[in-house]
Amino acid sequence: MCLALPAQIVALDPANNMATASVGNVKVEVSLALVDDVALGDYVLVHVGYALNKIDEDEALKTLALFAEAGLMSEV
Amino acid sequence: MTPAGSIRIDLHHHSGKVTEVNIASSRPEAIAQVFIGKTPEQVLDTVPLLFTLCGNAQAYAALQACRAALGGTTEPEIDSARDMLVQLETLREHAWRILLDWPGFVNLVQDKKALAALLKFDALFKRHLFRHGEAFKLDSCLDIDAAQIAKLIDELETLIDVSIFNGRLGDFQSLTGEAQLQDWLQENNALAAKLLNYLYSLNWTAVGQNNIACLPDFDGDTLDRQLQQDLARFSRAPHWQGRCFETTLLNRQLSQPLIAKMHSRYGNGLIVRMLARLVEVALIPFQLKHLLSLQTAVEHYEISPPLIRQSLDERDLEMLAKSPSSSNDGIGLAQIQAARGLLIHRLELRQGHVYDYRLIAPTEWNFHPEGVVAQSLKQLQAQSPNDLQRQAELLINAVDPCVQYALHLTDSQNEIK
Repeated sequence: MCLALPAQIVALDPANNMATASVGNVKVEVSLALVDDVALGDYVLVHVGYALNKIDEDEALKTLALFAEAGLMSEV
Repeated sequence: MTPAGSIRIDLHHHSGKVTEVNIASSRPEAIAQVFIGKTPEQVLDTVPLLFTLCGNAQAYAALQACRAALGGTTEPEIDSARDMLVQLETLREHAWRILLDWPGFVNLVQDKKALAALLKFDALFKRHLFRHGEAFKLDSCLDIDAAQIAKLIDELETLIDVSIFNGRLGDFQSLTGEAQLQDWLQENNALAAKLLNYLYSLNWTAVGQNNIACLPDFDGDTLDRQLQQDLARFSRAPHWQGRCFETTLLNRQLSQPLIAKMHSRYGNGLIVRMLARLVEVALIPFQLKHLLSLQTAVEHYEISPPLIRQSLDERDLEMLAKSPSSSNDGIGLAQIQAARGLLIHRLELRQGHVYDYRLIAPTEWNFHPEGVVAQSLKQLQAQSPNDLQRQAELLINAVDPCVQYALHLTDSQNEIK
């Protein structure tokens, strides 16, 4: 259903333009090929292995709270 | 597992012939629950936080449903600008499949730069169409910079011409039959041509052909009557009059001469699906220019806003949102043509707050356990497990679920052993 997954960048791999991002307690590997200037601690929206765009922390936390409200964060 | 969920497709075969297909989804049905108890304004603030890929279609559907539930009237001029944003999003979603997935099938390198460039258009369109870039609020206002939008559409057209059609978009747009298509494919190095030639070379043109029909159009009242019979079941696994239907971009492009002719020969087989995606990509810049010209005509008092819809031909209307009828019972229903097919939002307001909210995404129809993907996969017969896997991947890619999927092949001969 095209859900936006806010994930926080926890490790960078500039040589491969990849990063490790944290969605709740799950760590996912994401490509940074579609976004510019991503730094450690930034929040990005993730879809099928790609970071789509940066979002601010406030928006990311609001979205995560909505997932929790829908009971979807228990799986994370 | 992340909250977005996924689809698992199990394909059992015997020496390359498919014997059984099982599709299971862990896609989150509960997400609409977050709207319960909210006001329409709060719903419209929440939707952009939840949805990314089809964010414009989702926001537009929510807006239309809220507006109908509140008994509001349509806003042809503003809605026409919103239609532009959904079209742009559809183009981006198709480009995602073409630029990132197709190269893997034909041993080419992905063009991530073109896709990254495409991702930036959405914010620019919103900024030059709406005051403060706010497109999907009840009080959104137009603030159109027509010159900037025209420039953006030209840039968009150039981008897809170069990255997908290798400068031969113009020729592609004029194709009306298979003989012309095959001429166009001769010595053509465009990514689009490579994929189509690949299907021809393997004789996989009709792969997956089956009898699942495209979902017919229905008016809001008819749809709502069906929905009310069993809202929960319909939201989870929709069907119409007891049958599964397909709702993909093929529904929208079947009336195009090239697609109609290819469909008459190959049914809903692989090449028709891939071609329909290309035809839609090629059409969208025209559609955007046409919608912009109508906006300009309204601005110059050449036509009045209510006549915008009447100025669109049938082909245009197939790709746009249906105008919802307003309601005086607090129920709002919206039908939007999103990139992957028909998106339905239905909400019920009581005392100004959401009492019930349902979302039916096209993936629910298309990846229904008995739906078009399941039936397509059941038709597969390949010479090797590798070919079978590749055919299945192409078919799934062509229908395009909105979440990640996992495909598992099992040779039933090995199971017995």
